[in-house]
Amino acid sequence: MGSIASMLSIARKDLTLILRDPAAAFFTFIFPLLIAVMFGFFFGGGKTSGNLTVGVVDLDRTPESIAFVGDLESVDGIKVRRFEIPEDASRSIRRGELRAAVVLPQGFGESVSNVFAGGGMKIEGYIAPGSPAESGLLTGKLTELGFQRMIDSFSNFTTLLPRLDRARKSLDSASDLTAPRKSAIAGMLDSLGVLSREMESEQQPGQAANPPAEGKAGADSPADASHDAPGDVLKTRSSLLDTWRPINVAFEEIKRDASRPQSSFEVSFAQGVVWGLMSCTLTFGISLAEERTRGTLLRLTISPLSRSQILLGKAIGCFVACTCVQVLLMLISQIPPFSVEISRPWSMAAAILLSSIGFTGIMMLLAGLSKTETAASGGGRAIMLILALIGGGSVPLFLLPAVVQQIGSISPFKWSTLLLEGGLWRQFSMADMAIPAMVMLAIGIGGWLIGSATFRWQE
Amino acid sequence: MPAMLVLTKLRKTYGTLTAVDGLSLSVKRGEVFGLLGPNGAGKTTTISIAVGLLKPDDGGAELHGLGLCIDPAVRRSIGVAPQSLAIYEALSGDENLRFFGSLYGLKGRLLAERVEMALAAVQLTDRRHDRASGYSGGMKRRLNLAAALIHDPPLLLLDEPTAGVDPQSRAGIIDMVRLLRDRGKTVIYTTHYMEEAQKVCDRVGIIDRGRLLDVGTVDELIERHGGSSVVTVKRGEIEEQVRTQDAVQTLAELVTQPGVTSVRVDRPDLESVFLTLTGRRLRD
Repeated sequence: MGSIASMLSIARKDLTLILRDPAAAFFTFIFPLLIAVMFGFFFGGGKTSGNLTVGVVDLDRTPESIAFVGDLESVDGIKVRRFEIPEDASRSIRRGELRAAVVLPQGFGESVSNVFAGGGMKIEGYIAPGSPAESGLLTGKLTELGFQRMIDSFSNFTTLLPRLDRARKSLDSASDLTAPRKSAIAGMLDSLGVLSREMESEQQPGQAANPPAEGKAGADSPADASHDAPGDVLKTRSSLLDTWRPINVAFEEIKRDASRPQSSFEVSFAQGVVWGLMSCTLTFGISLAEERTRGTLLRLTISPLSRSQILLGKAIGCFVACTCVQVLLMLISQIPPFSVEISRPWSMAAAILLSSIGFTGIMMLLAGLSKTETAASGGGRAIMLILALIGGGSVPLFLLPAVVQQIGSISPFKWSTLLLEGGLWRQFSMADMAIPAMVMLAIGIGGWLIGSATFRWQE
Repeated sequence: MPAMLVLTKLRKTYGTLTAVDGLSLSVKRGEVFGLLGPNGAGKTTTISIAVGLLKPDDGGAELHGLGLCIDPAVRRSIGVAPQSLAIYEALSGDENLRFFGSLYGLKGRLLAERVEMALAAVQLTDRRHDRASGYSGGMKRRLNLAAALIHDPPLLLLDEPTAGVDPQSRAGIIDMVRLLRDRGKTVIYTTHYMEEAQKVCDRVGIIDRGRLLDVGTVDELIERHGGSSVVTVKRGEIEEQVRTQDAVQTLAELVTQPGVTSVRVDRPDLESVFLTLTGRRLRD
C-alpha cells in the first residue's frame, strides 16, 4: 500500500510539474485543441452553421405545397435545402450533411382543406439518429406552419365556403374521429360559415347573409365572434380541440454512413488527440531524463521504491494526462460549432483508455531508452513526429494514399486514431475494435517491459 | 563506539577507469566522518555504493545491524543530500519536502510534522510556500539538505553540501551538521574544502584515485603526514622562514633574539597532509 501511495505521489508530482510549466501545459492541452479546431475549419468546417438545415422534397407541387415550403424557408433558424426525390434527402442524412429532411407527399395540397379528417396534412420526414432536439424543433415549426396555413386558407372568403363544404363532407366520412370530436369540429365549421357570410355581406352591402347551412348543437353563437375574422374563430375553436393537430409529421430515423465522417471536426478532433498524446508521451518521457540530469532521479532511486515502481509512478501520471487530454478534447468537441456526435460512447470510452495505455507504454519505452535529455527530446520528438504524420496526425487516415496507410500501420497513432474514429463515426463493433485494441495493449505492455528493463540496466 | 556503516574492500570500475579501488572504511555511530579528496577521487562513487545506488564490482556496504545497503528496506535508514541540487524548482519548499517524505511512506500528521521540523532545521519556514525557483543558491542548498532529513534517518550522506554557496549559508550548513551530530546522527561528509573538514569532522578519510590513503582525526593526520610547522620571523625589512617539528620551542628561541619585529607560525593543515600523501594539492 505504501508503495502504491508513493507511486501516486510521483504521478501527482509529475502532473503538477506539467501544469506549472507553461510550455508543457500549452503543448499538452492547448495545442491539440488548436490543431483540432484549425484542421476542422481547413477541412471545411462543421456540418451546420447556426441554422438547422432541413432537406425538403416537394412531391405534390401544388400551390399549397409550394406555399408551405416558402413558409418553411421564411422560418428563422431553419435553412431549407431542396431535393427532387426522397432518396437524395435520406442519403444526405446518412452522410451527415443534414440532420433532418421533410417530404411533402402527393395530395399534400388537398389535405390542407381536408385537415379535419384522415389525420390532417401528412408530412413524412427523415432524421439523423440522436437528434431529439432537431426532431422536436422541426415538428413544432411544421405544426405551427400547418396551423398558419389552415388559418390562412380559411381566411380567404372567396374560397372559404367551398372549402367548408369539402371539410364537412370529409368530416362526415371520417372514421378516425370520435362522435364528440366530429360534433365539435362541425360546430366550428358552421360558425366559420356563418361568420364568413356575414363578413362577405358587410363587404357587399344589400346582400343578406345566408343562414347557417347546418345548425349543430353545442356550437358557440356566431354573434360571439361577429367582430373576429374567420381565422380568429378557428384559433379559438382549435384551442378546444386539445390534441388535434392540422399536421401529422412522421420521422424515420436514418442510420449514419460509417464509411465517411459526418463533419470535418469528427476527423480533426481525433487528430488533435493524436497531437495531445504525442505531447504527453514526450513530456513524461523527457521528464525522466530531466530528473537524471537534475539529480532528482538520484533521490527517487535511493528511496525504498524499486526502479520499476518509479517508472510505474511516471506511467500513472502519463496515463492520467493522456486520458485527461482525450476526455477534454472530446468534451470540447461536443460544444457548438463543433457539435461532434459520438456514435458509440462505450467504444469511445474504451478507445480513450486503450490509447492511454498504448501511449503510456511508448512513454516508458522512450524514458527507458533515452539516457539524456537531448536523446529523449531530439530523438524522441523526431521519431514521434514521423509516426504521427504517417498515422494520420496531419492528413486524415482515410485521405492518405493506400501505400502510406499500409506503412502507417507501424504507427501507434494510426491505431489510436482508428479506435477514436471507431467511437466517433466509423461505428466500430467489438470485432472491429479488436485489432486496434490489441495493438495498443501490446504497445502498452511491450513498452512497459522494455522500458523497465532498459531503465534498470542503464542505472 | 559501534560502527554505523562498514564498507569492505569496495571496488568499482567503469571500463578501464578504476573509480574505487579496494576501499575499506568503518564509520562510527554518531560521528561526522569527512571524506576528503579532489574532484574525481572516487568520493561520489563511494557514496553511491554506500546508499545502494551502485552495485560494486567487488566488496560490499553494510549498515551495521540492518543489512546490505542495496536492500531497499535498509535504504530507509539513509538520507542523502546529493552534490547536485536534487529538488524540483517548480514546487515550493513545502511541496518538495512533502513529496520526498511520501516516498518514504510518510503521510498525514507525521508527514506534516516532519516537513515542519525539516524546514525549521534549514531555516526555510518563512519561505515554505515559495517555489524553489525563487530561492537563492544557499536556500536551494539548504532545501536539498532538508530533503535528506525528512524521513529522520540515522545515517546522513552529505555530498559536497556547501558547494557553490555564500559564506553565510556555508556557516549555517556547518552549524546544522554539528547540530545533527549532537542529536546523535551519523554524518558522512564529502568535501574538497579542507577548512570545512577541519571545522566539522570528527574523523577524516583522505581519498585519492579511488583509494583511501589514511583515516584519523585532523590532528592525527596532521601529526602523521603534515610535516613541519613554518615559523616566519621578521627583522626590520628582512623576513626569514624556519621549518620545525616543535613550533613552540622554536618560537621561544626566536623571540629572545634581538631585532625581531614580528613572528608568525604556520602549522601544517590537511592541505599539507594531502600534499604529503598524494604528491599534489587538493584543488589540482
